Amino acid sequence: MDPAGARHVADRQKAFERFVVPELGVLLHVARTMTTREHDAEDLVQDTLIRAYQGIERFDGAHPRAWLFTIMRNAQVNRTRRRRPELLDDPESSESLADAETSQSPEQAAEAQAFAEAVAEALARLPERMAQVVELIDIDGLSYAEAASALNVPVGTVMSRLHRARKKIRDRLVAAGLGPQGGMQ
Amino acid sequence: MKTLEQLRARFVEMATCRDVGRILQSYLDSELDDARVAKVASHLEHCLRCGMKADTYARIKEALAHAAEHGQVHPEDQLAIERLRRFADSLCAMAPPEET
Repeated sequence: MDPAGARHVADRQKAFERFVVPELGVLLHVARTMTTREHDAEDLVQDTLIRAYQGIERFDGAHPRAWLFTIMRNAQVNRTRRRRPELLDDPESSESLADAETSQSPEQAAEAQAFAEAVAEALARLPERMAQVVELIDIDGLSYAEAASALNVPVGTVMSRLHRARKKIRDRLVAAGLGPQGGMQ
Repeated sequence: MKTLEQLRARFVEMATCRDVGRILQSYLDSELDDARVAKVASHLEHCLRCGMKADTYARIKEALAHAAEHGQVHPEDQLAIERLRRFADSLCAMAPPEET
C-alpha cells in the first residue's frame, strides 16, 4: 500500500474508533428494540458496524448516534422484524444495589434496596414500548431526540411513553409504600 | 367560606402544579430551557407535594442509572460488548472496504 493509501486507512480507523466504538453498548440496546433474540441483536450491530465502517468517510462527525441509528434501521430493513423478548427480570440485579452504599445505616440500606427492587420489578412489568424508552433514556443516557431517532418515532411519542412509564413505576412504588401519595401526573 | 381571593390563589396554585406536572419529566431529564428550569425549580421549592413527587422520580432515575453502571440491568451486556469490540477491531484490521 502506498503512503497515501496507508494514511487513508489510518484516518478511517481513527474515525471509526472515535465515533463508532464508544457507542457499542447503546447500539446493542437499540438493536434489542428492533429484534427478538439476543443473537439477532448482536448480528444487527455487526451489520451496522460493517456499514458504518464502509461509510465513515462520508460522515461529517456531527450527531454520531443519529447517524448510527439511521444505519441500523437501514440494516434492519432486510431482516425479519420480530417482537423483542420481555426484559430480563434478574432478581440478583437489584439485590446488590444497596451494597455499595457503605455510608448508609442498615435501615437506609434496607430501604434503598427495597426501592431498587421495586423499581426493577416495575421496569420488568412495563409494556415493551415503554420499557424501551426508559432503558434508552435512563440507562443509556440518550436525549429525547436521540431516543426518537433510535426508535424512529417523533420526540413527542418518546416523551409520552416515558412519562406514562415513569408514572406506572411510581404508582407501583406508591402501592408498595415506597413513594409519596399524590394525584399530579 | 372561602373568599374570591382565596379561590383565585388556589386556582393559580393548582394551575401551576398542572403546568409543572406537564414538564416535570423533561426537567428531570435536563431537556428544558433555562427559563422553564427556573420556573419548575421555584415551584418545587415551595410546593411540598410536587417536590416529593419530583424526589421520587429522581430516585427512580438514580436507581436505574446505578443499576446500569453496575451492569445489573443486563449483566450479559459486558460479554456481548466485548464480542462486538473484537468484531470492530477485526473490521479495522481488514483491507479497506469497497465503497457502497
